[in-house]
Amino acid sequence: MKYFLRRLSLVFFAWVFALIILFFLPRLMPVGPEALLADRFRLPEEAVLLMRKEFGLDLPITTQLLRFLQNVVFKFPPDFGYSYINYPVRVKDIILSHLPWTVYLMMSSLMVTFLLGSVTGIIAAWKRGTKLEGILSLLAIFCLSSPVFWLSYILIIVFAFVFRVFPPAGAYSVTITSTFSLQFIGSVLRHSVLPMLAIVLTQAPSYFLLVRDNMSLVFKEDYVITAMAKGVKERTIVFKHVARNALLPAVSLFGTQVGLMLGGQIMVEAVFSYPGVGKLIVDAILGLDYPVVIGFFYIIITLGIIMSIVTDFVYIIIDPRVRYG
Amino acid sequence: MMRKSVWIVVGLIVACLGLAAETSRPLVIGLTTTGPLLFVEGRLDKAAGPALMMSCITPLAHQRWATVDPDGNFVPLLAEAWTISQDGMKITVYIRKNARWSDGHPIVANDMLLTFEVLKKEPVLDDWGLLPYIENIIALDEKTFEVRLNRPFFPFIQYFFEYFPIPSHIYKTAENYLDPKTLEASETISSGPYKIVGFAKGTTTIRMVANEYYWGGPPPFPEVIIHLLSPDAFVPALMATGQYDIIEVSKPAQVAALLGLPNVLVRTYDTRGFWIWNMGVWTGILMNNAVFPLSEKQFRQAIAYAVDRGKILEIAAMGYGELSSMGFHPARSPHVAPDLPTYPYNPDKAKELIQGLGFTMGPDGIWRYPDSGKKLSLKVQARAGEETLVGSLVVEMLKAIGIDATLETLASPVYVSNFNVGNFELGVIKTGQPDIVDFLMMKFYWPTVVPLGETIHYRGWIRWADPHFGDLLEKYRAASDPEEAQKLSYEMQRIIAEDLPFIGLYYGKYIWAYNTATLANLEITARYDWPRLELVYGLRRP
Repeated sequence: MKYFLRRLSLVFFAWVFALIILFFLPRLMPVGPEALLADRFRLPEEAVLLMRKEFGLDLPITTQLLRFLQNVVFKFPPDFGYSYINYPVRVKDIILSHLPWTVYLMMSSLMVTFLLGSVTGIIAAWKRGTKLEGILSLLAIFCLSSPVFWLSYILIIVFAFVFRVFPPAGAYSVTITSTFSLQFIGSVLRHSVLPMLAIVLTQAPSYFLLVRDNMSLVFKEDYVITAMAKGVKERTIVFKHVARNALLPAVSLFGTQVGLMLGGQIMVEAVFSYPGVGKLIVDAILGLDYPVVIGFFYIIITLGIIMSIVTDFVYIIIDPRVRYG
Repeated sequence: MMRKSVWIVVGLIVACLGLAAETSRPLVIGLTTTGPLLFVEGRLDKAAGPALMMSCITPLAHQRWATVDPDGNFVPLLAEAWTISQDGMKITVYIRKNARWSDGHPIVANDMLLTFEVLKKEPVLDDWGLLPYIENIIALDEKTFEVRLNRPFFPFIQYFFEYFPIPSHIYKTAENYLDPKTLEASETISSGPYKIVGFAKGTTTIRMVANEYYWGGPPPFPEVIIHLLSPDAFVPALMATGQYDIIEVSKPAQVAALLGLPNVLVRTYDTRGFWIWNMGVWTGILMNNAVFPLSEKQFRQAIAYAVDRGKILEIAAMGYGELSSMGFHPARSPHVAPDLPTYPYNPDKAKELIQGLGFTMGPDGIWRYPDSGKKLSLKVQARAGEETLVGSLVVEMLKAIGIDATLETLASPVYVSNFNVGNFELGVIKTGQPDIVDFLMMKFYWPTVVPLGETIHYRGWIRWADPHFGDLLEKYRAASDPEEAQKLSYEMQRIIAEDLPFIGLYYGKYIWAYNTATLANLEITARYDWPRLELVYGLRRP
């Protein structure tokens, strides 16, 4: 409990610190959003000044920071205000309209990534020195070193262009109305296969290599040798004694991957014209739409922090050394 | 039990995948676009977003008074007819009797009066600088209005017809119209063949259905779906699915794969319908004429000789385009002045010109400034995409003549801001460009040079001004005799080609892919036939 409370207070300060950095980062850009407002909306100077006032950009930076902390850190749900480039739509609404697609793609990819990476890692370690391990390792290194956009194009060319088994873009067929029907669900599933595959193929090797190497180390532990000497079944040794210990770092990786994947998915969403937050965030960064940028990274940071706490919890459950330490 | 559940889930997934098969569908258009989608129904003066949206989406729902066909002839749209007085000072516009908004309310003269009030209240919305010429706009009756000018301006109606009527029965006053808070409250209302029934900011699909009150009768497709695709989308795979009827191809490198597909026709166009004009896409180099050595004509000419424009066209646009004349028009344009200097690629000549300015060649092959002995360095700014590709080629070509050139790829707001305040040396720009003499001459010309550090919008970016050129421009705008106008245009082009305040590189082609299976009963053509849809998408009924 003490361990957990200590961790909780630490992550809270880390979270606030990260949000303060997030507040300052976009403001380091050489031009402010007023330049964008004036050019894109062809607004007269007076209108730009009014908008600056409405967005609070005319206030001293310290006041802006305090207001930000008040609205984002100490308020739930946080209030990021209006999107500059989609004014008068609120950031919350614009992010929420895109987020479900990204969360669906990310969570499903992450699950498959974890399972695939861990299971193949276990098999590779178990069959160490065989052809199977060699092939799996080679594939893992190939996928790990492939840029995700390149791999995405390869998948599109092979599965959408040559064999035409999966659609190359979008979240569902444009001619289907987005209602909760089997046809719509089927279309969503079909459209998510290739982007999901692109993410899984580039992320799973990290789990594979981690689990494989850890398994190899754990195989040499005394208790494993003892189990072997006692004549315990090989399958039981691998899955009950070795894998359970070797999976600990993979669980940590899973926690940190959530935030990273949300950011890393931007490229995949761009190539597959997927309507998640990817395009939204690219537009927001290019358009100096600070509130949307902050809203997006708030999610990444908060998710990262939550996953770090969850990982700690899982550690407590699966590793008694942490519980009693 | 566990195994059974897994099989049930798998079975359900397979069933769903099967059900996702296509049924009959409307016209589906894919547009590759960058930037956020900000499409404000019924409020087009405030609509902002990628030019593609303005040219390919808004014309379907919001119509103007008239348009121009590819031959340059006016085609009446919401206006049935118009008359221009002998002295060109009075234009009377007769609105179609059956022109209605999509809510059934008639389009009336007051709608244009409200547009004028809005422009007066916010002159910054006056894109084409017409306000200084307009004395007044009055309603003669419910369906007729008159525009009175205070001085002659002969290309006036070409611009004037671009200003949308605003539904006065909804907005009532200019203040109400301009209040940003009313943006979301406005109901979907259109004057064109389609009305928008499915769109929210930030989404990627726009659904339009036929406007039952449209004066021109039912459009050829009762429903149109526009899908906004990422610029990175692989168009050949999208066309191969058969889901799309038309897609604009933003990457010429994808054309080869498209050509191998059955039922796909690839067409290229020099221009794309954009408001009343046919819009080409011009790529050029803007130079900051206020900083040395770019302030020297001889140096700017050296850069023109150093740049192999043909090679840039071949590499950056894969040959899909044509070289720009140095007078700014596409080389094919009937408006190009004869005998303009062409500046063929000649690095030796470029070096000779630089040497003539007193620069000396350093031991490292880089020129040194005459007084300070500093290296001659130039920064080339560009945005991501084709501009950066062009920029990298320009940098290599400048290095080849001894200039220490570097490329800066910038986010669009930073890039624009640099131009605004003059914080740049060279900038690669790709921009929509109509082949209208008056507008071309105005494009990058501002009559006074705004000092570096002070903000000026795009017409003054190059910080170059010539009183004689300004005088010719004013005379051109007032010229009623076509021969005189042409003479003035030629003279202005010669000034630009001689003085080179900027360098035109090429006009790119627009590339469209058509699904010939689903569009089998339509003729795919570049000719004008049916208002807008044809002009924009090149379709017509045989």
